[in-house]
Amino acid sequence: MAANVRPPDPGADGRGDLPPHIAAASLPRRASPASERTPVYAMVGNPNCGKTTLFNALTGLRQKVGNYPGVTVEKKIGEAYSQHGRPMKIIDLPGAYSLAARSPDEAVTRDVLLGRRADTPQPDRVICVLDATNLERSLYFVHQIFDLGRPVIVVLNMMDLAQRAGIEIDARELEARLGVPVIAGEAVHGRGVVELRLAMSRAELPLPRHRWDVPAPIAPAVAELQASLSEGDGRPPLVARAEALLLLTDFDTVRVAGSTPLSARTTGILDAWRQRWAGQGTDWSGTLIKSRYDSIHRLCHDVTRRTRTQGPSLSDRVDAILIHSVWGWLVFATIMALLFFSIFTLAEYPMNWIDSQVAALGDWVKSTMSAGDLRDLFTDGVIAGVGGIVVFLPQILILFFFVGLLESTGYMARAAFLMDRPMSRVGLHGKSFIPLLGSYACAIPGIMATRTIEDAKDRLVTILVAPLMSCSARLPVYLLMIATLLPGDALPAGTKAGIMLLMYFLGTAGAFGFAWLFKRTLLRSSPPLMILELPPYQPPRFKDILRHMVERAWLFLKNAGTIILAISIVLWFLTTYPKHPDPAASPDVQIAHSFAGQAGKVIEPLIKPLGFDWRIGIGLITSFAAREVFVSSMGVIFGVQAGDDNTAPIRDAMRAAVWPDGAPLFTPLVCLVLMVYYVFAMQCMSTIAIVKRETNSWRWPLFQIAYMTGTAWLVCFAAYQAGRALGF
Amino acid sequence: MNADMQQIAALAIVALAVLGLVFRRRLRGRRKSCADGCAACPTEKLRR
Repeated sequence: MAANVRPPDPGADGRGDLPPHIAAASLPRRASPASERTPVYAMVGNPNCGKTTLFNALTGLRQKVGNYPGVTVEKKIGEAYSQHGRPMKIIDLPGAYSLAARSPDEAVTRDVLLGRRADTPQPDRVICVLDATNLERSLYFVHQIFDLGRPVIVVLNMMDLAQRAGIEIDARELEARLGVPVIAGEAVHGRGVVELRLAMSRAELPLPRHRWDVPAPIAPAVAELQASLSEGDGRPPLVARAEALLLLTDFDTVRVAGSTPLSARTTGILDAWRQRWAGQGTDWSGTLIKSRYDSIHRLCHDVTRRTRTQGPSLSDRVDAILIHSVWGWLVFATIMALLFFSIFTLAEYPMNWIDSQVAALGDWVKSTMSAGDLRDLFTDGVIAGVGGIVVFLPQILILFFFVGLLESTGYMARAAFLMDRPMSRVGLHGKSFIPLLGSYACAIPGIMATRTIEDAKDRLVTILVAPLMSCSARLPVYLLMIATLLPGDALPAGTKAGIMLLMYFLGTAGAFGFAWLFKRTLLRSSPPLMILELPPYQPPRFKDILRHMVERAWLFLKNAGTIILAISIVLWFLTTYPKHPDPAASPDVQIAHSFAGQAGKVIEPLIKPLGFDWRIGIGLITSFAAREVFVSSMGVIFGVQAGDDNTAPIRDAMRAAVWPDGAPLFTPLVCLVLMVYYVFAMQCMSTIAIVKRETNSWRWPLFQIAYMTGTAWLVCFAAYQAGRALGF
Repeated sequence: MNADMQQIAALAIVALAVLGLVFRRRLRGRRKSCADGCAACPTEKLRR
């Protein structure tokens, strides 16, 4: 039976055969953004189809790109210019497979397209980016977007990969069939960007005209719901139609993913139709989806041609090893070992150079300025604090180089695949792997990346354990402690790398252990099935990796030059004032008399069972702002203590530190316990702020502080006391 | 510079550092794009 509900067809006058009540509405005939308002484009498509690469090419921005699904989890707004120099606003949206959002990142895309976000302008036009190697699947989402009745530009991205895979797509035929501009391109190489900009510059764009007949049994329900949504819920006519189709196909996901509430009338109509169909035994949802795919399949059949039968691709052949149940793990372990080994070996020379420059600067200031507080502030506060942290820049850069390499080639998705099995054992979702892996760099983007996880409880578990993964801010602390623990070059880099690897392992094991615990107590839910798209391998894009490294280096140096500088100056003041009545008193006595000394003494009873004295206590307090502040704090505290002649690296000053009874403070056991403390303790204000924002409550960040810092104390207590008992 | 002057200058710098920490958010100004595009960044509008 023929159906009477169709997407708009512009027809001869551009208005097409719209239902009468829609035709009467004030729809843009060809939706030209001719008004004075800056036209708004939404950039949408499946995950990992190259939207952000295209967005960066159009806007000149530098949003993060990577060869794995789920890099973009929040909308990004940029500005581009038409060929006539008019500004155009572009919204880069997280990837989605359909309008039926299943996870918070997909919900962002759905809500912006449906005009539900008060903070985002509703897009006038939509740029649909398609993965040419997966045309049929990509077109499903495009098909749903056509329902919205907005002008669309289709970009067939990754045409080079499609050709290599033996797929030939007739872009002109596709354009004729869809009725919208279709641009073939390769965003990575900048091909098609000019053509896209020209298409975007057109004053008028045709509305899509691809016909799709809604199955007859469903058509009356769509019409009734559409009318109710339009009249009762105030939706624009075509948005109402798209939402009606969405409600009928994916009611549960639409509701779960935080849809705006529907009016009682709409809910009543929806329930009535659902009950009626349930009584008839009709799978209306499946029928609707199938009819869309049938239409898309016919279209794909007409516009694509296989030039050769596809055998296993190069990616498939490589995957046979990299995701193999034995070889895969071996490769994974080798890559990780290589990463940590490089951190120690490659970074040694630039580190020594920075170290010597910092020392030389300190000497120069001392020789130039006369003795006094200002000179001490520069040498013991600014140079010791900031210089102490800047020395770790090479190691941070090496870490980001490796992470960038893994992201850019597509290996990251394979690592997620490998980790799915061990992670499902502790009840974690395989999709949690990328947020957790991202947390090795910084917990903040890691926590943001949890938006790709559909289940709220799984997402919360991942957020709760993500800060346990050793982030790059812990790196300076570990490195300082290892340098203090293992003086000189007596021990090979392999041993140092081994200790470092142990700390990373401890954090990861802790994250898995707590995830297991939370999934069995606070946040029970069944382990979900993981579906992850493995992108084809690509050669690393060194330009992007280098850019990312430069950005991270700048961020690190900016942090050192602002927050860490300010904290170092304040800490210098707190360790210097009030001054001891006797100016000839030893540095030890002077610092014990200072504000910081007095505060440290107050908390000392709490941390003494862990082997820490009040000076370490000051470092623990100040590093609550950010973990790396611990290193600069040690620089200031031990710099102040060492007196006027100090230009030695912090580690030497720390190695010389003693308890009042003359026993060394930083014994190997204390160094290890301190590292373990930083593995577990929640010492980052920015992470707390982001957890509050993502969970929308103070309950979870406070719980996180309590459980992480509590665990840190207990584990350190046990380790220190056991170590002492064993004679270390 | 004598010791007293050095002390005054050092304390002035300390006061500036404290003010900088207290009013950090206000001093931050408009952000450009960043690598993560999200991390603790209050604005989602990343215009050039």
